[in-house]
Parts: sequence; structure tokens; C-alpha cells
Amino acid sequence: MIPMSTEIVRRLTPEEEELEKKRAELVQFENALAERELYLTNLRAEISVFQSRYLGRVGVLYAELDEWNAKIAELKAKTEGTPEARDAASKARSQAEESSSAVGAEDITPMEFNPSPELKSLYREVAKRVHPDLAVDQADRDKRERLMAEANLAYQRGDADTLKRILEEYASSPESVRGTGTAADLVRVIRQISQLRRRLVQVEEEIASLNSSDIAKLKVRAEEADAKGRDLLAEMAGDIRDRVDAARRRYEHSSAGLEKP
Amino acid sequence: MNDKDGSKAALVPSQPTALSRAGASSLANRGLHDLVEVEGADYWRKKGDEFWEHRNYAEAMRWWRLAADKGDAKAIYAVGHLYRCGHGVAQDYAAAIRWYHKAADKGHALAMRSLGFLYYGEGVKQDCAEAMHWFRMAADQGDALAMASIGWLYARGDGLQRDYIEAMRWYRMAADEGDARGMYSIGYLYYNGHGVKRNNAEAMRWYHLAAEKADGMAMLGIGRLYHYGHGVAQELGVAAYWYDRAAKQGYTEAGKTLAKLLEMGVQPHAPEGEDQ
Repeated sequence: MIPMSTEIVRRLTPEEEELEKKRAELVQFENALAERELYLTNLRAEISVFQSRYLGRVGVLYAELDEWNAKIAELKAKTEGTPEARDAASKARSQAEESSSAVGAEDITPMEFNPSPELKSLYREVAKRVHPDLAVDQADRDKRERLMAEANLAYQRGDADTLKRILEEYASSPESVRGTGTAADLVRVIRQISQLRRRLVQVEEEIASLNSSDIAKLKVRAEEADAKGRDLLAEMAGDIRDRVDAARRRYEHSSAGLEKP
Repeated sequence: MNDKDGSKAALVPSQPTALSRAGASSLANRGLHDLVEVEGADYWRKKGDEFWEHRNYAEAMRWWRLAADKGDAKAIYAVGHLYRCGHGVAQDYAAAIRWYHKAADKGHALAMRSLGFLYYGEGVKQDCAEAMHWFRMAADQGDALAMASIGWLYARGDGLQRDYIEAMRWYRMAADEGDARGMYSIGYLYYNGHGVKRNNAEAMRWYHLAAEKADGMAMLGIGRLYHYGHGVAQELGVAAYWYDRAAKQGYTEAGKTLAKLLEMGVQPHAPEGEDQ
């Protein structure tokens, strides 16, 4: 039997024990938050993709419809000249402009979003390590925010290399290795936990608000229809196209009437 | 820099489409709103109704079929009606009956009543028992014309023992529901003394009630009462006035009688106290 050296087995001080507990708690929060951040990011990306598709297939037709309606209203304002008609025309015009800018804005969202398991796990890792709410001071936070934004972009375009680079970059940055003694560590960990907790609540709120948006509801309906072999966006587009045609005919009728005095 | 916004900003820039982009969310809202209509059978049916109003029956058929496929009872009935009339499709009573049955299964009273008419012999072999069955089903739903039709079957003894008392009972139910056909028929039973003591004044009263609801047969009946001085003093001018109104409703018999009166030099005029 080898006698144990009391010098080697140092018992933890109460402060150190507390720090260990808090560190374990922090890890749990990091994991939970990384999971939810990933979920939120996926959800947002999927909805973005759906929105692009929706705007491209249905939104453009609304914009076209609004354009014809604006022309009709302007024609009416011209012939009638009443303040009401002019008012209606200017409202119709700004509606048309709004719709047209909504569908015409430059869009770099990919039409598909299918992150691989590897990509997801890399993103989870980044969120865990680099999350801005783990920041210990403003300089650290700024750096984390920059990296996190970069990670989000990389994730969305499926760029695993960039995610790896970000992980390495942060691991090697001086801010990430900050040893300052038990008492200071304890304060820092407790602060980090409370920051993560706050962010977790925020993430849940964002998820709920995204899910309750109109575009998310449309997405659900489209998926339900798809499961039944129906193309909901095509059906919607067909319907609006009818209305566009009707509006165009109406415009042509009224403008033809105008040309023949 | 605000901490909260800062962390959000860090996560949001990954979304270049900016879900919150001006106009995009309002377009989504419009889509969702219209979708409710696109998906609702109501929407398709109303489109069909519009084309029906404009007598574009082929288009009406197209949209009603869509609504009917979604199980809309009114649209199913309407499709049956197009087959019955041969509007927008080749007339096909068998198809009409099929569609009416589908709508009747969904409790559509008008479809039930229409089945009654078809089984009574419109386009298919007459089956008075079947007709009665469907009129009763519709009457149970409060359909006044079906009630009047039941009265008619009793009054004629079609497929059952003739029963003027029962006929009167059904006619009165229909009249209570505001049905002109029921009102006219009550007048008719009084005029002929069927199941009741003959009573020209009552006949006149009921004919007038029905005529107010544009019932041409009632107008013809009033014309006859004035023409022959039944229950009122004979007034050929007033008779001619009512024959004229009935003729305008498409009752050729009234037109012929009117022509005879006019040949005799009768001047049609409204009864005293009535305009025109």
C-alpha cells in the first residue's frame, strides 16, 4: 500500500467547489442555448427561403396587380379630377411602389436550405463557444458579435470551412483564456449564466414570434398542401393572375374610352 | 451601444432577405388572407355564382365543380341544376339526379325539392312516391314550395288517395311560410269548392295575396272572377287588366282571353283604389 501524500490531494475550498458547480451549470446552459440558437437560425433560414419563393411566385403577381390598380386609379384621377380620386390614386401608387420594392429587392437567399449534420454540429459548437452572451467585457463582446455574425452567414451558405476557422480563431484569441483567480472566475461564470439565461428567453420569444408570422403560417399551409400533392403557391398564383388579367382589361377599357373623345 | 440590441444584431445579419423587410410581411399577410378564400369552397362557389349571373354557364360550371369537389353542398346542387337545365353542358337528367342526391345527402333542401320535381316526371319516368318522399324531406327543412307541392300531390291524388283536406293543410303551411304557390292554391280550392265550401270572396282574397307576390296563375284567377262576376260585380275592364298582367307573366291562356276582350272594345283599367 502506497501512502497518499497530503500535499498532492488538495481539498477544494468552498469557493472552488461553488465555482465547479457553476461551471457545470454554465456548460448546461451553453449546450441548451446552442441547441436553441441552432433551431432559431434554421427556422429563420427556412422561412427566408420560403419567403423568397413566395415573393418570387406570388408576391410578384400582387405587385403587378397593384401596378394595374394604380394605373386605373391614376386614369380615374385624371378624368374625374376630384380630390378623392387624386387621393385614391396616390394611395394606389404608393401601395404599388411598396409591393414592387418588396418583391424587387435584391435577394441572395439560396432557394434551398439543407444543412448537413456536420454543419449543424459545427454551428452548435460556435454558438457554444463564441456566443456574445458569454462575453466578459465590451471588447470581448464586440469580437464575439463579429464572429457570430460571420458564422451565421457561413452557416447559411453551407460553408463549413469558415465555421472551423472561426472556432480556431476564437480559441486562440487572448480573450478566451482568462485566468484570474477563483473569486473573479466565480463572479464571471455567474454573470455568464445570467446572460445566457436572458438570451435563452429571448430566443424562445423570437421563435414564437417567427412561428406566428403570416409568412410562417403560409409556409405551414404550403407544406400541408404539398403533403397532399398540391402546389399551394401555384394555386394562389393562378388566382391572382386572374385578378391581374381582369385589372389589365379594366385599364385597357378605361384608357380606350379616354382616347376616343 | 445597447447590449440587447447588440446581441440581436450579431445574429440577425445572417438573414440578408430580412424577414422584416418593408412590404414583404404585408404581402405575406395578403397571401394568407386570400388563401383563406382560395381554399374556401365559398370562394369558388361565389365565382361560379358571378358567371351564372352573367349567363356564362360553362365558366359557372367550372368554378362550381371546384367548390363541389370540396364538398360544398350549394355548389353540388348548382352543378346538378346546370345538368338539369342543360346550361354549359348537354342536358342530362340522370346526372342532375346524381348531383341532387349528393347535395340532398348533405341536407340541402333545394336539392331535395328539385329531386321531388324530377321524380314527379321532369325528364325521368314519373315516380310519385319518390317525389313525395323528397318533397317531405325538403318540407321538413322548412321549404315552402315543397310544402305546396305536397299539397298539389294530395289535391291531384298523384300516387295516393286524393285528399283535399290534407292538400289544404299543406297549402296553408306553405302560405304561412310566404309561398305564393300555396296562397294561390288555397284560393283555387275555395274557388272550386274542393274540400271546403265554395267561397269566391275567399278565393279573391287568396288570389290577391298570391298576385302581390307576382303569381301569374293568381292574376289569371282574379281576371276570371271579374270576367264572370264571381263574388264581385262583373267588370270586364278590370278583368282585362288582370289578364294583361298574367299574360305578361307568360300565361298565354290569359293573353288569348285578353285579346277577345280587347276585340269587344274593352278598355283594361285598374280596379278602383289601385294604381295602374
